[in-house]
Amino acid sequence: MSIISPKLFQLLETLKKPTSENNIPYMYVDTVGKVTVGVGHNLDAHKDMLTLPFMVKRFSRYPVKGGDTGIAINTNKILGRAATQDEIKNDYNFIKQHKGLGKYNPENLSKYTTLELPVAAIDSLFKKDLSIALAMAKREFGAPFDKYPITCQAALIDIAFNVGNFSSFRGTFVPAIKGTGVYSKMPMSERWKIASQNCRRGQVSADRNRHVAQWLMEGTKAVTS
Amino acid sequence: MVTNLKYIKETVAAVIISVTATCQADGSSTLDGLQGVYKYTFPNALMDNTKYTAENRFLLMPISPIAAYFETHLEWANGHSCDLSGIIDVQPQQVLTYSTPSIMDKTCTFDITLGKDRFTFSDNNGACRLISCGNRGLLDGIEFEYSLREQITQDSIKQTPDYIRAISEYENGGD
Repeated sequence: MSIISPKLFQLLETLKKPTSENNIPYMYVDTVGKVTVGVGHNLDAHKDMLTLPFMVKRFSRYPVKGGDTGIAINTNKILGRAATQDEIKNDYNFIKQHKGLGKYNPENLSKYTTLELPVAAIDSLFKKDLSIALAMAKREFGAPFDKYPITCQAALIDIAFNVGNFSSFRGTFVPAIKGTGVYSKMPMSERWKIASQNCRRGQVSADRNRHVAQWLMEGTKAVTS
Repeated sequence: MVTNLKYIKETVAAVIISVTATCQADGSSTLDGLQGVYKYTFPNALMDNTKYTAENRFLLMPISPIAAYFETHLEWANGHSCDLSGIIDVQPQQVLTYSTPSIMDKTCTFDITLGKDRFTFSDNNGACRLISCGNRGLLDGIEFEYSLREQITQDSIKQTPDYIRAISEYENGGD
């Protein structure tokens, strides 16, 4: 298991920004109907909902169009206590049944849920997800990855977190960083510059694309050869 | 590089001829009539509510009665995506299976079930999503209806880097 260092985590916390992945403590349905929590953690994909330490934050939900409020919490009404598995399923089922909520900004959807994850639990989940992205980056770039400047490591992890692998970056970006093909005799600083110029993802906010490009550019200062 | 490509193409052609000869007793393939690209678009958005049109795509191209090249690109919320491609084996029971090493000591076993009117993807242990999807993405349960099929030409697919890599991986036993 690849471990995210505290320094890397500090850099990658920028993914919590609303212009990036956002950081939502309650379940919400995303734009394609998947139930998500925290920093883009897809509960349908990870299938780990019942292992997460959700806590009771509200006893009832706001009605959606048509009046449905799902199953309210009517027993052991103590805010802040650990949620039961049934209560977790109730929030999930309610969100899953009302996929239309995916049209709205998740920041406005807390009223449709009763449970939330504590900050520490979200961070723990986020680190786990980042460790998968780190493993994918290492799989692509191999042992040299560990010697890359830390901002460049963060950039590659951000990309892996978003698109999983680097298959759409094999034209210029990947060979430039690896120093293969026409880049084999080029200094590393020049290669980070080329990577920075070729890191743009089509379906990512301009802010996030800019941030990753800056991280890669910082690699040009961190190496001399 | 050109020499290598030529070598790969010649080797693959030899393998296909060999495999085809072996299977000619049967003569037909489960994949007959399924070659093509299957795709559809849908509205999507970033977390900042920037709207865009996303496209999910699946391509299948038989290379012998018992194997086919496949590639899929799936788009998820907030610009997340999955990309997976390779040479997939035709199994009994109308199932195609692709297996490759994943990360975290797992093995990716990607099954595609050929149903009555659609393909259905299966990634039971999630190991394929680990090596092909962003955090918001998944492969398991994805479907493409046969009615979405559009024609492809094998020659153009065979020039793509993904196809060349897939053939190379297949030749080397998944390494």
